[in-house]
Amino acid sequence: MSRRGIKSMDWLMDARMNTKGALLHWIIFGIIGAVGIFFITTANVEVGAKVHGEWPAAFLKENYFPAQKELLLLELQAREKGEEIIPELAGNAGYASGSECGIVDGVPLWNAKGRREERNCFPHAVAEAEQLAAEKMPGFEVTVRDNLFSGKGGKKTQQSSVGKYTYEKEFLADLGYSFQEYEQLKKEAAFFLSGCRNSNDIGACREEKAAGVPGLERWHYKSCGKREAIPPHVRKLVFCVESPAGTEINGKMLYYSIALDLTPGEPFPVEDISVSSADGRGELSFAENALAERYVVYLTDYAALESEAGNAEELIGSVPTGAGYLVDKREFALEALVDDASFCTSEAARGEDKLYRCEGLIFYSFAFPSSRSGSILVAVTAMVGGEESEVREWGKVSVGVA
Amino acid sequence: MLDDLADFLFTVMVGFFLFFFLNGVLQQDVEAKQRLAEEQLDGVLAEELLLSYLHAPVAGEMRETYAGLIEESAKDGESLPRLKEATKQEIEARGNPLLKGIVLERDGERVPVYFSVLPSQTSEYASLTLASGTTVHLYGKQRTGEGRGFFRWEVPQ
Repeated sequence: MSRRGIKSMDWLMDARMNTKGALLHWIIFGIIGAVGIFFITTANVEVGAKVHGEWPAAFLKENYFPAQKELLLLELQAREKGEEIIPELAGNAGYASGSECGIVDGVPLWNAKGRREERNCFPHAVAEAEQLAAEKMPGFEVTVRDNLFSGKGGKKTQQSSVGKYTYEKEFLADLGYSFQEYEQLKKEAAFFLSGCRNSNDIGACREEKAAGVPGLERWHYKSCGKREAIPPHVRKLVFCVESPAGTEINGKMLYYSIALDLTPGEPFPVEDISVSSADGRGELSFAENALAERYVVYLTDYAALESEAGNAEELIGSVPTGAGYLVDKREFALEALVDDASFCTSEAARGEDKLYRCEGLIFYSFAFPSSRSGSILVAVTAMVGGEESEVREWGKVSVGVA
Repeated sequence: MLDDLADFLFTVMVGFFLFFFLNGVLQQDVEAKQRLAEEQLDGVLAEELLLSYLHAPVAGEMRETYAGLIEESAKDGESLPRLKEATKQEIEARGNPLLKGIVLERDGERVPVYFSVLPSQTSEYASLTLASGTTVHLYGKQRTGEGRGFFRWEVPQ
């Protein structure tokens, strides 16, 4: 073999060997590619990349939001409790507990009439509401201002595995109602007291005043639904008062229960005195005095008193002594009143020195004092709690000696 | 000479593929974490949205909040139509992809208040149980991975 031929055989053998090497290379290359593609498409390789905002999100979820949710629930609870307080207080005349002036039919009085002076017991509604609210929201320092009901319960910490979140446990609820309504009611009550206390017929007085004073038409005796007439002898009265602003709580109209003492400053004078003579005796009649505990009848022939009015004792005391004027005083307890309708139709049936009650009038038959002629003046007063009413008018009857 | 060139080309290509594969793997993990972060953020925003909805005053009412109205509706049936109408206005006014529906759950019964899209196109994000025992569920845009064919609760229309 020539030298040239040997050289070409070497090259051929080299080329065969290079082809094998290259094939091996490409196989490895293919395996790497296949593994790579397999990894990319299937394997979820954790390479340690961090999730952004993981801690803040966990902190918000485990600390901040639970706190915010608690505050939301607290606010709802506060509003519910606040809405309970409004009618509760209104139903008890604005008092959380009771009035120092006492109660009438379970309702606290806003005033009390003493023998000499009057006590004012108007409630401080905001303070009472706060007292009631404090009982309903224990652990909170509650405040009521206008429509707003708020409370502070101090700091609270929400702790979790990611950290601590400290916040103020407090609430603020809009009640849609102001306890200032009581100020309006106080003004109306004061007007009612001053205007109708000395009235014999409170119902009529209320009607009369209501025409001129806005607000009094919302005051109803006992119930706002069933209208009842005010009895003439009752002076400590319970009223149902409609809310001045027409407030509704949970769809129900707000009503106040308020008791007032309309006992007059002094006993009412006895009115409509009429006296006549029949069958040799006097027939006296006068209007029943609703508050009288006793009646006192005065008889005198001292004519100068006919036009006089005032304190009965002073008037009778002014009759000259030693001049032989007749002065007679007769007292009757209320228990001595005869309440029998059969006596009302027949004057003759009525006995002397007895009082008969007939349809708002009191009748009294009395024998004329003997050996008297001319005119006899008759006055009647009412006694209430030891106080005697004034003499406002005199009845006059002529007496002739047979 | 040719061997050296082939070795060189082989090394370069292997390096390129390795880089390509590793980058793919890394990218995949980063994207997964990114998605997770976004979902977490959605969860946080949805919680905030639910609280904000419950705190919000009902349209036309100065002092009544949605939470108050929901509690009221638990006591009487008259408030529910008002709640539904107000919630519809609220959701549409906000136009937030995380607030697409509100559902109340009482005594195990779910009452849809309003959905701005088909309920099947939404996912639940947040919920809160009020004092009356009513749980308020907030629904928002459909979460990635929750396909349309996936069995989910359907709100009766």
